[in-house]
Amino acid sequence: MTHRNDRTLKVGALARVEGEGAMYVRVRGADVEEVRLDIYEPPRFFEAFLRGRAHTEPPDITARICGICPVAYQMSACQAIEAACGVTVDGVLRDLRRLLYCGEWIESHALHIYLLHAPDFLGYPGAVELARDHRALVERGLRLKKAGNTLLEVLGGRAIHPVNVRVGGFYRTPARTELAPLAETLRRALDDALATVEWAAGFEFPDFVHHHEYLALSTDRYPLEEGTLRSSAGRAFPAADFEENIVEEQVPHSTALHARFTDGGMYLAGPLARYSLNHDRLSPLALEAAARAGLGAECRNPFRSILVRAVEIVYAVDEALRIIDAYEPPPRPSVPVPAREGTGHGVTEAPRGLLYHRYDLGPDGLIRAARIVPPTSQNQAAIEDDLRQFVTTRLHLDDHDLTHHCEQAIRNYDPCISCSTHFLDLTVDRS
Amino acid sequence: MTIVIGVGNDFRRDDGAGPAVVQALRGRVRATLAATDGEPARLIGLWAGADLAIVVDAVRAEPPDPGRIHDLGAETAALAQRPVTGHALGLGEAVALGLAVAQMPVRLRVLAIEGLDFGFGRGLTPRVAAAVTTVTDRIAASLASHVSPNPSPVRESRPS
Repeated sequence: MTHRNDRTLKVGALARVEGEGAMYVRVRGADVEEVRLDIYEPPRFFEAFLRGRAHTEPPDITARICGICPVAYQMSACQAIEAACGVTVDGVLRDLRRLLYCGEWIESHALHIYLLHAPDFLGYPGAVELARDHRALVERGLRLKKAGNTLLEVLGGRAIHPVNVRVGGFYRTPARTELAPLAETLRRALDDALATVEWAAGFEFPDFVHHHEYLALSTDRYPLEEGTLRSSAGRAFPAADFEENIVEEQVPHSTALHARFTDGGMYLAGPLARYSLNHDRLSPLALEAAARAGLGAECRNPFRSILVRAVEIVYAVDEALRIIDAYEPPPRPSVPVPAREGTGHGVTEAPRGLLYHRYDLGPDGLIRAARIVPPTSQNQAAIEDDLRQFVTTRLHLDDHDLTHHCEQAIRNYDPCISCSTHFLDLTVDRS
Repeated sequence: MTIVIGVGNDFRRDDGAGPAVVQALRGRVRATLAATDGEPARLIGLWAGADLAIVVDAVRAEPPDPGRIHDLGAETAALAQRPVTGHALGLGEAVALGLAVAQMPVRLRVLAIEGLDFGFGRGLTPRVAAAVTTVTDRIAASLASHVSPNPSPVRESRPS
């Protein structure tokens, strides 16, 4: 710091976010001139990598983009390929996909709440220090995460990059008896999930409200594996119109693209948007947990996203149990998806928000073009905007404290920078 | 129970050294074999309750000496970082977290192989590939002499 009112804040490697990146804030007097979330992990070139591949390959290839949300990649890929081929997967196979997705939400949200985000609210530098003082709490988080992991192993074949998902359904579907021990694990997890909401509701949340347009899927159930895109400003469009409504722009400081509406407005996807647009579609148990935690029908404080994630864990466990209880094995593990020339679009709700895939198939069934828009690149502009507002009201803090507050603000979004290219360092320039 | 855990990403060149060792141990040892991405909760879930856990991981060192093998115990491993991974928490945090919640194997051994190329793509650089063979032989020999009253069957948590 060189001068009280002119300063640069620089975080060279943001901790407790998924991926690699940096943050730069330039302050001149009382004005925050610039806020940048710098992404420097090399671009992943997955879209180019998919060209020339068979239409059956995207679920396995794109699952490799992320170790935290491979199911999201598989589900969006399957949906897009099946749309291109004119095939609908429904019934029990659709429910099994939703069940698998519940496992990923449980695992991803539990990781973020307990190991990445909660230390911010409890004054610990990280999960290890939190665990030394509150062993039982972290054990509960690890149990929850393991429950999600177990679900992925049972249905997906393995927890990281599941191998049992294919275009048209699954390679193998489980017998009812295979799901019975899983249901027992999930019933115990439900108590842990409810206790997590109660625990997080006691945190002290900074007073901060944002007004971003929220964008999430909407369907007859709480959105996961399908739906129509709907926004808090009244926009509504199907996955097939994603690119007519949303553009991605290259920005110099990042290898991730920034997404905006075609009319220029930024938007926010993820748990806050999902919850605020679909609150009434939560299960009665999750709704009750949300109400007890003091969450209304809409949540506009990003610091309270930890609470929304906790409610979503309750929902995911509850929904998984519902699907398992109703489960009758399907007559066959998948439906045929013969390739045909065409274009297909898929959007699903990854733990961090909307994940869009598009595939153009040639007459030979090979992929001619692919497009993948991950949630963190969609949210990056809104995260930067939040940071600008946030820093403006906290310029009285010294660089150390301001840096800490900014990192916490970024972690509200659980940014998966691995996915969006695509990770974090912080610079505050006050000179 | 003895478990050998290969940590890494076989789509990031030399970061695939750990999973490559696990693959090469198939059929050669009576131990549980697993490959994972290094995320702490997963690592803890794999090694909790084991009598012996051997973790094989690729590392960067300064100055670099690709293919050099470091044989570490839990205390040294707790200081390790995994700059290669796309995750904020690495092997060092996994050991520290495992110790804090008392979910550690009775014995932990970490074999770290210095890598050269962590770019995108499959395949190990020649000196790392040679180190994989050396580490595989070393683990096979140590487990052959390791007397386990209840040897575990070979099981792959995540085939590479």
